[in-house]
Amino acid sequence: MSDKTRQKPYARTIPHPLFERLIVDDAMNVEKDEWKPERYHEYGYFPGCVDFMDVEVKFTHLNKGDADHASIAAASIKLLNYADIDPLILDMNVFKCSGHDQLWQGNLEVFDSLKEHNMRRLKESGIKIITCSCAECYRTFAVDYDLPGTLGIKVEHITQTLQGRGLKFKAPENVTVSYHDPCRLGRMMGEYEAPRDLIQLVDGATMVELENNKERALCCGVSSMMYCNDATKAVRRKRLDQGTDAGIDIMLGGCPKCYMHMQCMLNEERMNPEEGHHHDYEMMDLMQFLVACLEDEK
Amino acid sequence: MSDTDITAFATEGNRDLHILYGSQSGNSEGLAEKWKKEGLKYGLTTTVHDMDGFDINSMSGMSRVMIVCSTWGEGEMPDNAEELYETAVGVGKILTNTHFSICALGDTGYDLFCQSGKDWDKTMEDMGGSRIHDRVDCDVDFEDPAEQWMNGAMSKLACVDNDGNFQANLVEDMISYASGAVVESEPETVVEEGAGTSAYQAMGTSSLFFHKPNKWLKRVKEAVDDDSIPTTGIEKAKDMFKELRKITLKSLPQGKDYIALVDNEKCIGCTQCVYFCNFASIDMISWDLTARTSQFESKKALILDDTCVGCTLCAFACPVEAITMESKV
Repeated sequence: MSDKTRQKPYARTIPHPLFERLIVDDAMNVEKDEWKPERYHEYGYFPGCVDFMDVEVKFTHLNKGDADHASIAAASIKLLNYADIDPLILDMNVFKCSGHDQLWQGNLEVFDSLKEHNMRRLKESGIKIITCSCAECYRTFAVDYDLPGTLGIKVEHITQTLQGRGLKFKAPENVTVSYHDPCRLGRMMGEYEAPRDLIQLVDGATMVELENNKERALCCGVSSMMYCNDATKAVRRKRLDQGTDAGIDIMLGGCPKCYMHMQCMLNEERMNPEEGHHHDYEMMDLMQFLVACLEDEK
Repeated sequence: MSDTDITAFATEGNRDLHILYGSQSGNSEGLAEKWKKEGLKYGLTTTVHDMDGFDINSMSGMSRVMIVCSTWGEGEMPDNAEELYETAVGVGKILTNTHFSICALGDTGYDLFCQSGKDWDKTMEDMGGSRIHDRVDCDVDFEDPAEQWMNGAMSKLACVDNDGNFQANLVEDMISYASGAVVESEPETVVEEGAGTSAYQAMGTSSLFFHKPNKWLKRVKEAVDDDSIPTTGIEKAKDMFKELRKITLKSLPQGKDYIALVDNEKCIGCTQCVYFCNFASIDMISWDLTARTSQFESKKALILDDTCVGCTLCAFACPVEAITMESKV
């Protein structure tokens, strides 16, 4: 981003202010201590703020307890181990939020503070490749932090890390799934094939494409926690309707925020049946789906 | 014991069962109402009492009491139970003939898990009541443990005879009597389900508030339930949210001089405040925005001024801080 765009004012209304406030508090609390990992790791895994999301949705009961964000991180670690990768966990105890939301909302002071902290920690960690289960963190590290250019660290989305490692999955039952392209991973970073390749590895899962897919994919309605109103919900419902049209059992996503907001709407519809909208399938993160399809051997 | 004995036992004499609920968000109340019907299987005449306005002295005349109570905030009683609990603590040994059992609802995310249920358990014992079935402490997914507790407690309470003595040898007969009763009453319930054709029942869920986790989520949870997987900072997140929660509670002005106001720009229509409001003074209103978005009907919260007492519960519940407390003057 050029310096000119940085002059823009802070976004007008931000939903999830509690969540935002915690991230900002965390960012402004500067830690000077040095940190050193116990041993050398080639890979680092950055779970991002999924734990905070998990606590928030349970705290506010917005998802009525039916969304488990923390399991995305646990599932990713398990899958990385399954692919014989022993990652260094760059969790929120040592690292901070990647600052994606703050950057896009225009809260640049906070973003700079988060970036500075994370860059220092990344230097200390000594990893060669960083992998993220969140499409937004992936974009932020690759483009806004420019890690390959500054620190020489390769940035991967977890689907790219797991791709081509000879993994095998078996679905517990025959399912029809489809993949919802997150904007940060698809249109911004051009990665469409890695998640689809992973889904092809699942024995028993039939992959169908939604009406709008790849670069023409519809938006989930909320990126960077910017806004949640009737307009964004209309976009989301349109996307969910496409899932029903395709006759799927599960919609898979590559970004926790797509998962969070789609799941929220599915729950809302279940709670208000009198409104007559019902989508008879589940929303899941791709990592959750794969870990549920993991065979017990190995 | 022959069949005729148990039938006579279950239908004659004093068969009153009293369920008291202490409820903040409606879960306990929902359970109490649900279990009212279950009592019929055991031949019990069930009365459900709100703890608010209940006379503690009237409990001395009750031989069968079930209490279901949730925990609010940092181990506090729900609003409707607070007064009753305070009087109960100082009332003395009045429950010589009463058999009771407690179902405590809570959240392991808080330090004082199910504290109010534990408090009731102790107080009822201090008052001289005899605990007929062990207390159950339920976490957020309370449905299954609560159901189990209900089956255990109710079958035992049903074996308390006319004079208030517990006939332990009758419990097994009573359970088989109750399961027989299920078969008899089944056609009735089928008719009921057929009559109510809401989309909700078609979905196969049993109640409005408690949508059970889907089977895929269960599989995910089983797959990641592994001690070798490191946790990724959820403890830190929990601590930070707890701290923020305390600060939010302290910062809100409270009382009859204040009223809650909704900012329509921020409101996302999640209806969370409606569930929290104890005074039914929040409504979801449709605003006509069809010109902008033809596909989605926007609903926003609206506070009714005349019944709002300024308790701050809704402001506390709002996930997007769209509700503020404003001075009435």
